Amino acid sequence: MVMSRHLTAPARKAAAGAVAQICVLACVGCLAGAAALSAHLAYAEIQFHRGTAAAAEQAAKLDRFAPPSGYFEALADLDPDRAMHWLAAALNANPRLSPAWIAQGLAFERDSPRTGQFDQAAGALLQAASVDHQYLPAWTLANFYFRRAAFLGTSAPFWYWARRAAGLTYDDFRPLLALAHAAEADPQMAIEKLGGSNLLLHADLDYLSELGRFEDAQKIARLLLSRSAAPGLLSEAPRLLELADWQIQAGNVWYALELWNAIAAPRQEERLDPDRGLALANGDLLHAPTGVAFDWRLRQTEGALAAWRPSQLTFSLTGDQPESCALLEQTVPVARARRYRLHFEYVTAGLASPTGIVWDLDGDEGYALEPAAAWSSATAILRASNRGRRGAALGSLRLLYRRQPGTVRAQGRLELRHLRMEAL
Amino acid sequence: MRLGVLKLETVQSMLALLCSLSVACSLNLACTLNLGVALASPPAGVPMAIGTVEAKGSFRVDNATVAGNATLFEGATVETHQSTSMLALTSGVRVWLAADSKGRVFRDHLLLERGLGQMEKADRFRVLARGLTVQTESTAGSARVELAGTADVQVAALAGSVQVRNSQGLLVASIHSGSALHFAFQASGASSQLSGCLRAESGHYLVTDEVSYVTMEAAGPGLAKESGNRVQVTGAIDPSASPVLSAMAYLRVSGIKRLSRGCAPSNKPAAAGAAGVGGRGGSGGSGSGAATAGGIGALSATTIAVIGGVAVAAAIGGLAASGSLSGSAAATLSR
Repeated sequence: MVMSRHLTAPARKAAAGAVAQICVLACVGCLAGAAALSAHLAYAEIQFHRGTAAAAEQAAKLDRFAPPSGYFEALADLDPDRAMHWLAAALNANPRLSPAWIAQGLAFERDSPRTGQFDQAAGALLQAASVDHQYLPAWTLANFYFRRAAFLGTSAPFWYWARRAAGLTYDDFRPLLALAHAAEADPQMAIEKLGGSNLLLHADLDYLSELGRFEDAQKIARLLLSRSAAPGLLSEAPRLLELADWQIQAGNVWYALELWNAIAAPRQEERLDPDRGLALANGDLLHAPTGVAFDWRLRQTEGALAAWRPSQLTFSLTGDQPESCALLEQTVPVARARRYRLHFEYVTAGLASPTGIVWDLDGDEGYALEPAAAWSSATAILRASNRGRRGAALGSLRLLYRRQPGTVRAQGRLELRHLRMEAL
Repeated sequence: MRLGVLKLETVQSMLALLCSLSVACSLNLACTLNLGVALASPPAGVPMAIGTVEAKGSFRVDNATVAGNATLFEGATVETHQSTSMLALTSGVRVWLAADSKGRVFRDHLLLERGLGQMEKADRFRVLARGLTVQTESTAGSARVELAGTADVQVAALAGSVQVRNSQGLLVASIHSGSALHFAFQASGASSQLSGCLRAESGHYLVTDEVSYVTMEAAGPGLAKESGNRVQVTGAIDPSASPVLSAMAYLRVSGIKRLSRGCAPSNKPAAAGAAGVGGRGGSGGSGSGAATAGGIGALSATTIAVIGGVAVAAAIGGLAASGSLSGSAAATLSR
């Protein structure tokens, strides 16, 4: 400033011009430098995307001041022989890169039979978990400690990380459940060790059922039931009744009954017990038939329509029904070869004699129903099958329609109520 | 790993480290108190893991979706999606399943159900594909197996020789390193057919097929006058007859056709030639086998062998066309 005061106007102008020129040149230089750096990095990026180890390595060299960790991660894949070197470089570039820690830990573990680097493997995986609190590190550690349990003499680290993973799972529980059940034979214990949330119980119930491990599934169901003061109001009731269905299909009568009585028949008088001859469920038709487990199944056949209203079932035959069809069915827990008396009330409209409608238990048929213009009480004596081993069995109680010889297919209506079955 | 970079940023990581340290030091009580879970000796009856499976992204193990990695048990079914999975078995064997592949893995073999599998360091490990058994001859051998089309199999020997056997255990091809062969199943009762130099050794006639490298002892009329020539022999394998030591099977010849006088000029292995590894070769083969090996008629330009109900031909394009493990690194190619 002091000097400028002594400069003449043209000189000051010239000096200002020079400063401006220097500024412009500096700016141009900076821009050129930035452009060159951008081009350099772009070239590095192009090299990287060529997808070969040599090109990716060159990209890393081109971008040597701040190479992205992704370059090294890719190199670890592309150049497996030097994977550990590249993973270390990736972690050097970004120590919070949990996938690289995991990859390094697993690589240490793979090499461990030769190098004995299990501690390094654990260290890398634990580091992954410390920088990333999401599912994958926890899941990886659970797996790692599962595999190491026999060598370590303890499964505690496994359960710690499995529990952590269970709390973070957002998708499919089955891989974790598979590990847990492999580590602990008692399914209830396994679930408790995983945290025992209801979400886990549901997933495990489905998982074990899918695998056909119905005995284990039953134990999980008991755990679920034990948590509810009012089993009949359980939100899990549909899931448990579905399991009862599976148990029926698997022939596990008592398991199915245990679930049914807990869920669908909470009142003592509604419970099924083949030993006491209590075999029929929902005989008063107070609930709409669900078709699940021991409840009534309404067979919707063309020409034979079924409808429920409280305490009553109505079947309408249009004459277009098959010559032989089931109108109604229930799986009943029975004693083998035992005789049962089925009590029921019915009324018909429009049905001619013989109606062709008959009760059937395991192929043993009663007498065909006669037309009844007013509500009538009737019984059918039926014998359960004696197939299979002794003890309780599952029978199939059906209401059938069969066109009688010399008649056309029946048309009319049948109404049923107050069904009851007793052992003789 | 440099322990210096370890930062215990959370209570969980401290607990985890404490646990691992306590495990290492057998301080089980400390772990129990900290984690609130009962420590026990290794659970009896716990299935032993046979290895691990890793992939970028998700894959499926026994129909369950898994992220990143998982423990493998005997008989586990692994199904890949968009990326390759690596199966690292505790025996040291490495098996790669390409994207969109599926297989059941056992301690000593992989049952390939879909797609492409590759085994490395495959000491005594086998890949079973559509009834064929593929096994490397050396401990450090490496092979690639791909289910081609709806019924064929393609096998490439990446390192070391690879043996391929049919469901009866009969050797149908011995693939040299760097070669690839295509296998197609023939109708039951199909005649065997080999092309190569017919030579006499100690009163026995031997023919080594140019594609499959399988040597058989040939017996039948008309062999003596073709000895020393390059021929194509057709016949039935007699399992009840014992071949000489250097032969894999005993072939009762029903037909013989001379391909060229003498053996030397065209004795270059077709497989290696077609694979683009062993030089020219391959072109010397006769196309006459195509009619027999209807299943791979498209490969009529090369010699085709039919052994034990399996037609064998050099894979067109050789090793380069034998599939690849694309997708292994693709997922990581991003910044």
